[in-house]
Amino acid sequence: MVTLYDYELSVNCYKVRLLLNFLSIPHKVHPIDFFPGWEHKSDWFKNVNPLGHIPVIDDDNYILRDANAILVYLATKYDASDSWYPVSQPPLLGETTQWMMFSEGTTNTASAARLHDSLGYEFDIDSCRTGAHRLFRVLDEHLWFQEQKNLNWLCSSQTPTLADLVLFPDIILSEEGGINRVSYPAIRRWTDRFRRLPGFTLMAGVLEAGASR
Amino acid sequence: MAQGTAKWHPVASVADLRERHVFQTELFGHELVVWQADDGFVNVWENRCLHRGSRLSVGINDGAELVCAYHGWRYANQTAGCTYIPAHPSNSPAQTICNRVYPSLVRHGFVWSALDQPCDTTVCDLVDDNEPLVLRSLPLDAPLEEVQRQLESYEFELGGDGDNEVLKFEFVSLPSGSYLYKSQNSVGSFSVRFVLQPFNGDTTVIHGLVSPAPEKENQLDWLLRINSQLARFREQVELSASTGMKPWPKADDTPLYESPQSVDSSVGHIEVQVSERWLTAIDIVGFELCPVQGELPTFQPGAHIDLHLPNGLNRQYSLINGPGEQGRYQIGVKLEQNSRGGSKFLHEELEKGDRLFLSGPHNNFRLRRDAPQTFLFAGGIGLTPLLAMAQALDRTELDFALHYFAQSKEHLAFQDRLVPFENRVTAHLGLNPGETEQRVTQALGTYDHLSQLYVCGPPPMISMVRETARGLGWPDEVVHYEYFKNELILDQVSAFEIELARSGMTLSVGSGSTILDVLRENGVALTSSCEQGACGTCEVGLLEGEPNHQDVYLNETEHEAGTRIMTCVSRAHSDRLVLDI
Repeated sequence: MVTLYDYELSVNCYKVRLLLNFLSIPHKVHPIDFFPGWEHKSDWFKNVNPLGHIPVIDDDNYILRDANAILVYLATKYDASDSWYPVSQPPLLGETTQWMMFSEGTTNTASAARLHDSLGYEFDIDSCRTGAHRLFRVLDEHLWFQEQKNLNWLCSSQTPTLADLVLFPDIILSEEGGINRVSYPAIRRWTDRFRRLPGFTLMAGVLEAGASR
Repeated sequence: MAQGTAKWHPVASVADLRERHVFQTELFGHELVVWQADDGFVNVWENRCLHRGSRLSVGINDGAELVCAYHGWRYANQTAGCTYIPAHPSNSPAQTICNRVYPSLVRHGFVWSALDQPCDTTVCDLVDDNEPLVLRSLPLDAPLEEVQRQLESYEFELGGDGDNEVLKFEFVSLPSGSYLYKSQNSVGSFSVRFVLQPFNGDTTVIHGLVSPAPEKENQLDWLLRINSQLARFREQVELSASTGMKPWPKADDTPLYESPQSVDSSVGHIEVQVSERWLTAIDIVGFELCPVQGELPTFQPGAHIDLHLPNGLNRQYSLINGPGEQGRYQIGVKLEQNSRGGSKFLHEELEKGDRLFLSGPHNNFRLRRDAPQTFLFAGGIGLTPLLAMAQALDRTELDFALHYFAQSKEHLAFQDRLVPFENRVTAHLGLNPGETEQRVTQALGTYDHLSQLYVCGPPPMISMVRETARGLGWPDEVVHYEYFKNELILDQVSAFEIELARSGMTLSVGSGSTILDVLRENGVALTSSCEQGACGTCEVGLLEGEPNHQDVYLNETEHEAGTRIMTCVSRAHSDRLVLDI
């Protein structure tokens, strides 16, 4: 059984919750009092993760930290369709990993702006927002041309990959960091499609999308 | 305010609206929400829910209505009138709750809008070609004037690699607000046009198209190349724009929302024209009514209109429209054997193209859209309001069953509208009253605390369904009905006094007149519709006194409570009634 050390408002924990639900993996959630309790910096939690970060999973005493590592592990182990992290298709796996790396950028800009605005983190808010807009322009252009090719997702596949999953939380919560998405219609349509996936779960600040037709 | 608010501007490309996307944009700093209903109509509204001011662009387009994400207020396709407030499931929202609608036009692959109604429907004469290639729209962080200035000296090149000849585009002219660039090579001549959307003081969106559209297989290549040219143009413009260009101020001084003129449906007679007329079942004719000018008011499922016939009669008919079917009303009219001139006139005299007046719609037969299970019982022409309800429920996840009682298959009306949910429809044909009661009992079962019941049909059938439901433990508040007529024998002669609590007036009601008559004679405007105690439109609150209820609108519990009264028929047992008006 998988146990997730989780905080409801964390985008990185949300990524793991999304995959656990998409793949219907039986799991338990161990809530961490991240704010204001700073439980992730407590002595007992540093025995679980010396970096004092969440998410962390414990899969029958196999302990893994970092959202991307956890997602790669869970998808490879539990996704029988090999679609979320397509190890048997090297070009697609390359694309997936490329866009997962792109999410480092959105996490350090869009999600950082959100932490600044909602939890009082000391970041340079202007540079976070400008950086996020720069990345969103690239993403919107990419997704608009994917639509021209009848592709719904970031990579050249008919189904979503971990690339879509890791980017989604940074994007959908960007307005909590003062980053408006009005100028990115292709991104906005992509978030509609992602929210319509079977097994999709909400978190605080994420709203449902209606059915497509 | 900047000039050009009464000119058409592109605000989205049509492809932006696919898959029921709720599109968000701005025009001169006014926030807009743009969404396309399943019938193809493109709505351009103020991006703001009238309830708490949330942006409607985070809401849900269900194909017929736009639903606010926060508290579920629903707004109708085309009119933007509010159709449902989940926190008040048994009330109809007032007609004044109507979002601000901007003009909308679809041309050349774009949606065009304007803050003020333009004088004509000519957008820029972009192309004669009906299917140009629509480019990716690009927002620039630069004010309109700066983008305009630089577009006039802009030139760009496409191609030049491999076998492709270089296509050099140069600015030619500015025909009615669009920037035209032309190029010619051995393959033919192409033109590229850009049209600008003044988004707000800091941002301008470039929309563009190529005509004639290049060959299908080359289109993606064209899109990519022009997009990368424009991206470079954007860098150049943004660089110079950040050096001290003064954006025009945002439209802070204009109110976000201007109250619409109030709609008084008791007075406002709307002229309509019969646009279709068809026989839908034995003795039942369907009519489609279109406004002669302007638009028809928002309706809710269960609503009816008053038709003012040229022979002086007023008749009530329920709308059979599904949600979002705005722009025309459809009704079904059954030829009554003892017609006093209403249905007979409609059947025999009213033809396609004829004009007449209507008022309303009124909705006193309100559908709750929150019950896990809804039972709809229709008897004959009583189908009409229930058909509107069934179509609304069919758009939700909620379960419902429509039981339709009629003499024969040929008596079933509007069968095409039943097809999408035919597995929820049971037709009960040729039954006598005893058999009908048996079927109703079987269908209903004991009350389960989850269901709502709606019934409409001949008065004896409505009474039977109400009594059956009561016998099975269904409380009055979940049993909803609408009588087409009041068959009670009425007291019309007793005399009594009415006191108007809010104005302090005391008036006498005597033989031959009603409370409604007396109120109107004394200048109290009250909306009414059927004037026989069946529709509920003329209801007022009752504060004191013992009423003699003579209506068929309120149920027994409501009659016993004695807090509401139908002023068109009900009178008093006591000497005096105190009314809450």
